Amino acid sequence: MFYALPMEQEPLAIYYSEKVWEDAHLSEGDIPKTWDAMLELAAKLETKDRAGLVFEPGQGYFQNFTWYPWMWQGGADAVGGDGKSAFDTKGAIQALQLFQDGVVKGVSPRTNPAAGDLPAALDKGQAAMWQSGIWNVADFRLRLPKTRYGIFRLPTPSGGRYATIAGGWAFVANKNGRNPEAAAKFCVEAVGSMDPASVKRVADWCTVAKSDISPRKSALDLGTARGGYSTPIMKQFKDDIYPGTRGEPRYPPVIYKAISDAIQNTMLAGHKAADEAEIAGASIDAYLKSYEGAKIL
Amino acid sequence: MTAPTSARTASKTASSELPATAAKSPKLNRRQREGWAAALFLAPDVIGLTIFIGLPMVLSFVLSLFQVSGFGQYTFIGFANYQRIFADPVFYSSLRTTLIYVVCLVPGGFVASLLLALLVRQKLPGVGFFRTAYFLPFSISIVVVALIWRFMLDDQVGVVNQVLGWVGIPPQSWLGNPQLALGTAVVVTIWVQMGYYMVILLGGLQDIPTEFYEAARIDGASAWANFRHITWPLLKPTSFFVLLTSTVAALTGAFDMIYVLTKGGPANSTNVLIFYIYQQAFQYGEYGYAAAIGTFLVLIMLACSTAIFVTTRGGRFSYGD
Amino acid sequence: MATERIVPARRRMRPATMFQLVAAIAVAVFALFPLLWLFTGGFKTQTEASTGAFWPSHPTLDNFVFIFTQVPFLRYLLNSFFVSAIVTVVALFFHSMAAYALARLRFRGRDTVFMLVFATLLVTAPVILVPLFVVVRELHMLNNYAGLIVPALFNAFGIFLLRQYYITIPKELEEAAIVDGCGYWRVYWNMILPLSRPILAALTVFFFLANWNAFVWPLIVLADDKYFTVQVGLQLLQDQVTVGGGANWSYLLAGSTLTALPDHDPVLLPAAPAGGVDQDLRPQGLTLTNGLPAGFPVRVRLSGRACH
Repeated sequence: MFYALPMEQEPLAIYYSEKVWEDAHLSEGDIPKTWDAMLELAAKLETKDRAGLVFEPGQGYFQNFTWYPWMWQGGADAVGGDGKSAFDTKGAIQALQLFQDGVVKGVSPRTNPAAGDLPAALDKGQAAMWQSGIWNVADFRLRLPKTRYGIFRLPTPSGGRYATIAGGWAFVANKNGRNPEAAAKFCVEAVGSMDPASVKRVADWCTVAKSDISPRKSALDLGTARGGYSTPIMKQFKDDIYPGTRGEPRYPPVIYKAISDAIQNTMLAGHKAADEAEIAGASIDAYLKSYEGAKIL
Repeated sequence: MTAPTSARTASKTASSELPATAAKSPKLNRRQREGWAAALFLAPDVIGLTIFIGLPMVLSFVLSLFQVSGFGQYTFIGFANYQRIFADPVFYSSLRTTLIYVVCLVPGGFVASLLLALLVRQKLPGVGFFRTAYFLPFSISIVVVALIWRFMLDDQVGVVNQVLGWVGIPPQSWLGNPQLALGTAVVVTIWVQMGYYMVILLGGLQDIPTEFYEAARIDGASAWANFRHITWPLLKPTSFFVLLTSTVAALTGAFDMIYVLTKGGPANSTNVLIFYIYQQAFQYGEYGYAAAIGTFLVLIMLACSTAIFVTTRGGRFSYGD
Repeated sequence: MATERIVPARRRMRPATMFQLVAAIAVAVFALFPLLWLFTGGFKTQTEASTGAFWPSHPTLDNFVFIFTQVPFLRYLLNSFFVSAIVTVVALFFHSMAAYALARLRFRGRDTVFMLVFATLLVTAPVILVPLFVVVRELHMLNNYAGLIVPALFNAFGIFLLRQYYITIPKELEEAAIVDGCGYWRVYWNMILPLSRPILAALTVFFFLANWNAFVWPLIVLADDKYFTVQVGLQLLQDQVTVGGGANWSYLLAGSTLTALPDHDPVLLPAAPAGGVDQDLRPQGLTLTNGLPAGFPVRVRLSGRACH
């Protein structure tokens, strides 16, 4: 139904304030590798005026987006390869539990610090760690170039495998539009052809205008050659965080909503993770039975 | 008692005599002329209401019988959307949330506004300043109201938690705790609206002749007796108006506040019906389902306004007429 | 006896007044304190604004410069003003016409029409958002001024209030005018409209404010930044100015400082004289003294203007 070409990739990592880190006498070696270590560290860094570790608490698409990688790490998925829900499984339950643990232990806030302004919160020490995307790099560069911060890969659960997620905007042509051929052609010329101008456009967009990973190898190479990924943070995003990235899944609203309710109810209303996974899994299955659209990725 | 009756008789006589004497339009009698005039006077509003309220109400019902896909394909499914409503747990929680919101906000806001109106009716020094101050929140864009309050209610550094900390109350997550969020939304809404209804109630208070109070003072009546026997009964029409408008505002105007303050969260705890309809329609593309919930809400509204119409005998709630 | 009672009563007044004054100040703090955020916020940098600093440590005008140079904010203001003013004037005109017919003219089906109008009192735009959107789309009024203005004109609320007011006008005046040979239009124009000046003044303030602050409908019906009203523009400032996640609150606060200003005028002006003296110094038109509540009970001030 659509032709779409991504123009950027925005993977998630965990940001931390180097100043807070140093004040607590921590070094790079203390970067947590597991969920338990991460929550433990968050408890250590949390104070009355500072959130230890921010998971997105707001109900909505963005929260789901930030939560999916935790689910994937444990091998779960909203829609499995067989077209059935893989939600009522250990991987999803432990990921729901992770968000709840953060809140219950008092290390993750129920609302975003600094009204969602990550660079400001890290700068003023209102948050020690915060799960968010690469786009903040440009924001830091523009507004708070002197603030010292670092990033690390999302830690994994025991027995899990590293995964993160990347979203971003794309050029899309509607197949039912008035002139789909021309629209698709335009998309290709704009961001998808091997024409040097097109490659440069994507590289510019991802490294100069914003701070993103280019979805195209040629543009990524060009951006790298021009020094777009030479800062330690961008280099780390490109070489350490980005490999292991999965694209943002495009779930129909019913599936999105089932998952969103599960996350919200577990994280903020204190419901049992296992119960919520079961309810959400059942409504996803009920929906998939009647679903006749394209394959859900 | 006799005067109005005779006046009415007189006017009846006049109207029955008029056709004979009216030279202007020989074809129409007075009654017909009056009918035509009424039709013309009513035309703009009645046509407008029909197109922009009546038609959407009907359309809402029609739409609710269809399943609408994201790309505008309509499939007739009968009453399946209504069956879905009654199997939807979020709908029930949303209905309950709406009721709690209205039941807390309307009386709470009314009492707050009435107290303020009584306060600024007094000859206090600087009373003009106070009136203006109380009204100011109403003039701020709701988008900004929500933003300001989000800063003030911040879990960690918010001023509200700091102040409560001075008196030993531990910090709360006013917008992130499902048990508190709806109450917080009510308080913020009262903060916005109190000055607005205060102004209306103040108008009603000032319309009560001062002679009543003077007579009561000579009789040595207490302040409470004054309120109970003079202010309250004479303020009834204004109170009715305020309660009516604030109920409408609570049912439908809640959308703005919820949209900017909590987006229905946390855990659907502030997801009032009007917001749920918006979510289903404009976020999930479920136009048919949204229309079914909308139709349900329209029926509630129609029932409410009919009830008001009947109990007030057509809006004639000015007791004893 | 009577004098004895009054004197101690006066003495007791003082602590009561003190108490009232303290209460008034406490509520004023509650009402105004949040607004300090708004008025200082526009002068803060983004980082200060979002981390809740109360006072700007380095006051800046950049935010104001930004919203006027990088965003067509002036245009949003003008759009809002234009739309609110037109809706207010036209709607009140239509409503008073309809109310006149419902209150003063006798015709078959009058009660039915009134009941139908009354029935829609609670059915406002947000309830019928989806189908209203469809109707407006079919009328090709999406994304233009007509789509903002026309649907906002019609509500039962104004008709209802004006009808209640008109019912209380004594019949004799009008009958005399009609017997004198005035047409209904002239009765309406020369007698009813002048008589309803106070309530119309009151409703003007409320209609204007309601439309100035309207949010949902403009948000849904508009796509083109050319037609944005201030409220939509502010929401956009919040959503769009951001590079990534964090919104730039300081632009928003600067913008809304300016937005709030036009609203204040009708309040500030009448409230000032009302401050000092007696309760009879009512802000004309605003407190609705002569307006809404008076429409329900019996008090009507007649200036007795006839048709000629």
